[in-house]
Amino acid sequence: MTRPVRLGAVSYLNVRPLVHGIAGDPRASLRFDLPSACADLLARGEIDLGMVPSITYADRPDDRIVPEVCIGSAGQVASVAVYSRRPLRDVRSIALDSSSRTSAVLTRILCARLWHIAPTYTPRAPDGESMLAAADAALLIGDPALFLDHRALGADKTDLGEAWTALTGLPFVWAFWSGPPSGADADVVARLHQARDAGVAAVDAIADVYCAGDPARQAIARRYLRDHMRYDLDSPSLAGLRLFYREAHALGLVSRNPELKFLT
Amino acid sequence: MEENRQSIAGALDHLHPIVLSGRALTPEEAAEAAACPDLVSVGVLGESVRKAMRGDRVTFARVAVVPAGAVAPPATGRGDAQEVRLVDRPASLDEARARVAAARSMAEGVTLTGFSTADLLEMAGHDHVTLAGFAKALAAAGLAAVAETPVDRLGDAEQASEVVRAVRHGGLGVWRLTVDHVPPDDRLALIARAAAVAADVGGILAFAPLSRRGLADVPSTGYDDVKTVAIARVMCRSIPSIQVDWALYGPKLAQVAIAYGADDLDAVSPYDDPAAGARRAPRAEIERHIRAAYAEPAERGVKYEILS
Repeated sequence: MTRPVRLGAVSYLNVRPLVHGIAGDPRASLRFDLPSACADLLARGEIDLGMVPSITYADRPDDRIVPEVCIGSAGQVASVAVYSRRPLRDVRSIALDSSSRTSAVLTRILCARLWHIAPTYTPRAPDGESMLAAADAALLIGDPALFLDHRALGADKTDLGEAWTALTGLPFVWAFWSGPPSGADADVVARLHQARDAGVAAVDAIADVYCAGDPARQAIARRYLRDHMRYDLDSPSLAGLRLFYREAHALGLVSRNPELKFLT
Repeated sequence: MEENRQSIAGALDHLHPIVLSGRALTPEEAAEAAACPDLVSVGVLGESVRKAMRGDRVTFARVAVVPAGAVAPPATGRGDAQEVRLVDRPASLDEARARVAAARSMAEGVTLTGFSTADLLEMAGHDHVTLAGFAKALAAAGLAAVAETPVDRLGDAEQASEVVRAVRHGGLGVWRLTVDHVPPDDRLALIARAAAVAADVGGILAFAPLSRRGLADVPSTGYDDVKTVAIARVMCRSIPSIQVDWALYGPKLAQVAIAYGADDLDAVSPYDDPAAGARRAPRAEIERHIRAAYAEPAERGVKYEILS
């Protein structure tokens, strides 16, 4: 490609290891946005590749996935959770963090398939206190969930990554690089792999910079990147992703069950 | 025998260094081997890989098979079986659970396996979450592993791997891949699929590449069968054992299959008939057949561990 590839990524801590060193790379430009905004930028052609929430791919049949890289978890993810002040089986309403459709869809799948409840859902701004004032439970994602002290809220925390793996035995893929087939060539794919490898080797430093000046948060961030995040889009992760799309489609939450197609 | 076979082999000599290097044949190379009319050359490849991977040892397993409708264990109990295996498709999960519960006492001290992953998948409406739930229920009832995982009935390799993962997530072992029914022309693709599944999911200990059902509908020849065994051996390098069913295919084909790459004989009867005499006892007979194929017999357990 003659011009720098335009990359858009979610603005959370968990994506930072995947873009390690890219900010100063003349071959790429990088911007950070909320997950839903990142998907919109991709739709408008304002970025070539987006580290977009997994559900976005189901809406974009022509897109391709950058192979071998994702934001995933196997078991606890720590940063995507439902908070409630009553047992899940008694939950009748859930306030959904409006910034991520993937987590909202996952919540609906888990309600139907694991917890066997059928609550009503209301989109809300990501504020635990006000969400729990308006509903029996609250879905929070990203940094607000990671750093929230749920005990101070008087709420139990149900980790959605852990719940998915309990249901399926598989990892959950939260986001991955994707875009139109023309969005990146093999050199860009290789560069993203390099960034991932360098970032994974430097997670402690990345956590310290991200939470500079707050040792307590730094400790949480280090554990999060080291122990909860998976950055390889490997075979079990792909199986988890395919099952997520199948479940979402079966429940009518996406219009199609997309085939996984990759940039080469 | 080995020297004689080596000296007359020729058509596939160029593939011999490849299989001895430890690399699995590519689909193109396997297709060439499968198309070779020189059966001896194909056999040399299969046997070479078997010897490289397993030495002279050929294992066998004594299995007490419990068909559907057997409301009580046979009077002979499980005999010398290390595995009690429930066969035939149950009508429902409840029936499957009841059969597991009924067989538990018979299997006390050994391993209880049963059913087919493909049958369970169909019973679950092809829903993997439900399938995992079925597996969990059967594991709770006392089943240790599914007995058969027919790769011809689980979709492509990707889909088959997902099914295996779902069953394992429910708590049942999936240790071997099988084939329900495949015409000879489709066998190469199916062997490649089994190799891909085993490489993907790990933990597959054996592959039984010969059809188990519908044998009368589209009969294969012994020529087809031993060739299939040889190709399976050279393509499925991540699977430790290539298996032939002793009860289904009979002693003669099972014995010949050893010379084409098989290293495990499954479903040997656990029951000795005193009236037939010691020489005709299943154990003595199978050991004789294995030794006659220039291999060293060893009885194995359900997870392919050596017992003797």
